Amino acid sequence: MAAAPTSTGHEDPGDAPFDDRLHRALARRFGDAIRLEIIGEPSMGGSNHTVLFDLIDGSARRRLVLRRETYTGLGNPFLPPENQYRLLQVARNHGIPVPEPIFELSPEDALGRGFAMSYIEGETLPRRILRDREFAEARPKLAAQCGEILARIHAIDPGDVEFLAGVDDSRDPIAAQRDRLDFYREAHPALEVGLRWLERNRPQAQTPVFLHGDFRNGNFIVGADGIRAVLDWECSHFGHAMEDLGWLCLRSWRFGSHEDAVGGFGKREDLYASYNGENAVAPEEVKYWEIFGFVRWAILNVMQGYGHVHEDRRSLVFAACGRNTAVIEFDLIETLLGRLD
Amino acid sequence: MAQDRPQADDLLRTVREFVESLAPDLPRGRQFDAKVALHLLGIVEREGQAAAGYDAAEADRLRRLLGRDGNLADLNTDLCRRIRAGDFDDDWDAVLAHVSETVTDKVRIVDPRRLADT
Repeated sequence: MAAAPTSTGHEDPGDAPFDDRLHRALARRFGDAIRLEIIGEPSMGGSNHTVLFDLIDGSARRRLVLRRETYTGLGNPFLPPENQYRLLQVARNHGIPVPEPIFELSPEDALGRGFAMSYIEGETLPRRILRDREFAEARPKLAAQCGEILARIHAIDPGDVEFLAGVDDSRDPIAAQRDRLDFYREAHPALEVGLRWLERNRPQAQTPVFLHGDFRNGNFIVGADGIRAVLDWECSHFGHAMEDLGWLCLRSWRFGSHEDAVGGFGKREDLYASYNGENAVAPEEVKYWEIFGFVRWAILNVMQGYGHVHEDRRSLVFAACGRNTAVIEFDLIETLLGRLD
Repeated sequence: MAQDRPQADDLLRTVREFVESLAPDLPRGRQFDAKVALHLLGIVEREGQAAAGYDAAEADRLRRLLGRDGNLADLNTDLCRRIRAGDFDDDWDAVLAHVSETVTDKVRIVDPRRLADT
């Protein structure tokens, strides 16, 4: 995505320039002597404004990332930034590789809602992770790493992240998707077929676990040594452990490398074996959650198209997302027909 | 009122070719935007050529599947309601075959390369 202007476009026009406000926010927390150097605005997906900057204190320089919420409009399915921040703290305390949460924005910063976290060097762009020579040694290890990290996330005591119980997806993931689809008021027979199939084939209930909710190629910072951090916790909720595994294997995250079901970089067997050992994964349950994943991903694209048309979140990319729904529906139906793995 | 030459499809193609010629000179971030813009223009071009035929075929299939008449929007709303109500649980293959044809036609317009890809 293009470098966004240094504004979410939803600020008081009387506000001081963005750089000044960020400098003041930093001075408030780290002292008046600090200096700010803006490095850039990396593309980090469509729903947040991300600013990379250096915090300079005397001879010490620390690179940080500011992440601000930009979603406006009703039906926002993402966790509020303060809960994302708490998830980073919890994940970090449990040894999950995540950026270190540094501070949260407060109203007096006049920077909207968001937080700052440590910058971690590495690549997030899926196609580079899948094709660049730099990651050739890391690639064969990534699927197993994903399994280990997911097992650790799922082992976190739900009591540590109790606030997730209020998320729609924690109560009933299928009903949550259906309610969202209804909100956007557009007929999608293919998604109705998917939802009906999901209802009729519900897996046996099991004790819900803490899910990342968007664990996939594109949300990892990868270096030559493998996964350095797991990003984007805004879809976190409680649910069936295999939901995270199914999402990770979704065809939509293989970026053309379809023979490697896990993110385009690895085999299902490597993921399953590293996730709590041999018998912890029933492959047909992962397949069920892949069907769910297509439905959910398609509805998120319907959401972006709706935001573009009806809620003033206008952009080329969101317009394209609305039409991309068809491609996800195609993958969904082909998978239901048994023509795709 | 008949418009003068060139026709709308030609105008679209002309704009697409212009954006194509512009793209290499843009900074990297904007090149991605140009790619998305070209993708959207391609959708409009293909939709202009083929959508009417796809829509007519879809409406025909829907009339047979639902056993009633109506316009495309009404028929689709009805289909959604009936899938949800479980009316097609015993006729699953028929509804699956219909939506398969419909989404395939949508993809022919949105991203025809995907059909070759699978």
